[in-house]
Amino acid sequence: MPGIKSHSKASAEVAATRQSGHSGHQPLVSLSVEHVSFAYGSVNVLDDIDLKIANGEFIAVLGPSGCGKTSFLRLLAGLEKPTAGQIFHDGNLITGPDIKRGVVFQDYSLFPWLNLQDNLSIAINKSQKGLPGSERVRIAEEYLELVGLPGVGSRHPYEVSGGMRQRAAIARSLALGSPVFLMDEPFGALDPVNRVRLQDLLIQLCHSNAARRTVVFVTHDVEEALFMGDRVIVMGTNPGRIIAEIRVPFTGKHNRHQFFHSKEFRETEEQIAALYHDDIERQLDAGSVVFGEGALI
Amino acid sequence: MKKQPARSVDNRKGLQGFEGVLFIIAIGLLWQVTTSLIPLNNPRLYPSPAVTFHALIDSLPELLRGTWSSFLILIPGYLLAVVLGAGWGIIVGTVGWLHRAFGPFAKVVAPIPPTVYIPYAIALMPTFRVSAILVVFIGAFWPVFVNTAAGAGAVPQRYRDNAGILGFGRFEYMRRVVFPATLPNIFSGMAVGLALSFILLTVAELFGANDGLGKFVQYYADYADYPRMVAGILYTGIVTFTAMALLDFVKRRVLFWVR
Repeated sequence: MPGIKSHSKASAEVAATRQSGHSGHQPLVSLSVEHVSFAYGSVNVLDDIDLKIANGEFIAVLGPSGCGKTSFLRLLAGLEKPTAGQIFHDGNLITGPDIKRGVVFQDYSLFPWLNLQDNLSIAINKSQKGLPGSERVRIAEEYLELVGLPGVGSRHPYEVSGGMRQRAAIARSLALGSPVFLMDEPFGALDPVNRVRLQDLLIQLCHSNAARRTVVFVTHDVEEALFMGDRVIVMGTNPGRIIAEIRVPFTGKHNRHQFFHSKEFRETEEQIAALYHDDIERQLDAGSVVFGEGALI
Repeated sequence: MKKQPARSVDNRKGLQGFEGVLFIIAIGLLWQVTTSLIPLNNPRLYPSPAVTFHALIDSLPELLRGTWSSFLILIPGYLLAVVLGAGWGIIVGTVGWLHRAFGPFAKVVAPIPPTVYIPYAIALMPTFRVSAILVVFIGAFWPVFVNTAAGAGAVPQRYRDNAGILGFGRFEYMRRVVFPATLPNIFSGMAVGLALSFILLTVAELFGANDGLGKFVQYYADYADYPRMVAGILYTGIVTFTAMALLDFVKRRVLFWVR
């Protein structure tokens, strides 16, 4: 049974604690978001976000465009500063970007003037300081091979497909040695086939028995959020805030066919649709202006 | 019947791309026709293409020596302007307080037509060559600097984000991100600066050179040897065009990733 609950501080803490049984180690909190608000000038983008993310947890942040999910990810990355509230990573206040939190953007994680090898090499230079160039190139090739890109290191980002660029972007975060991956609609610009392939690759690299990284994965795709996430944070618009949290306890998770044909999946999908419907009704009742094309979908 | 349209398309394609060459040929013919038709008191004042071409061939050794002499002014002045203009532009465009300090000064000084520096530079500097190098430097510096600083101050957010995520310090950010991201602007400034350099070079040579492209034209004008003078103008045009084409070639090679 999917566990939908309306969001409150207490429930977030319960969710973080429940994580203990999941991976077998101590449920250390990786990222702790405490009453964070964010505004662009007079526009309230995010309102009182409160969330704890456990070590090794895969969080999917789901929301329509204009709900501030990208701003939320930028705050976690340290690329923006909250207007109110604080965010901690491993107990340390986040004041700026850090290689401990690798970020994969939708389609611009790589420098266009460097080939894939060099894009990775500058990350390796940060995680393993003082390595000679030839050694960095060798390691870069290893990471490229790991993400399914053997022998294309000398190509430039514009010479490869969008799917290959995103693979390389994931490889860069791996090369950076980041324990936390922050991903902003990383597969949003890909065709369905590549999208599925990269979802599987990400799970294999970050969320299998062999590897367990903390991942915050922003998406507007309900299926993707439910398939990828241990926990789905559902965001509403105007202002951006958490309207629900869904623990995804399906059996047979990460078996695509079984998952998308399960009763739980369909029920949860319907519940999310209902949540969005309620959120839009609430805004219309309140007479507030509904803006952002996603808010009307 | 069926082949007709295809052939007509081919014909059009055959001419396409050659319009530029055809225009130059047309101008050459017009030149030839007008020189033979217009009666002038002094026919040397408006030499025909053939006479000019002959003068060009005849003066080639002298022109080549002049080119060498001109390049000894142009290359040091221009290269110094590119290196310092781009370097200082990147620093000023990136460092906030420097931008606030240097920006207003640059706004006032950059638009001064660099030709007005020539007499003072000649008076100030020990030799003509040094003063001409200085003038070329000043002329090329500002376009390179202004373009570079504008580009460095507007590095796209996505590159800045990635620099932050990779934990770049300020120097690494300038070298690995601002410099490559600003290269398109640097090349725009370099093109403007190069064109300006040729203008300043030839103007400066009119003032006090013993040799050089501008001097060549001035010298034969003084002796009313207009075929050589026109040949000098044509030759200077060819040299300038070649230099600009070379810069464009380098630009395409360096900016392969710009699409």
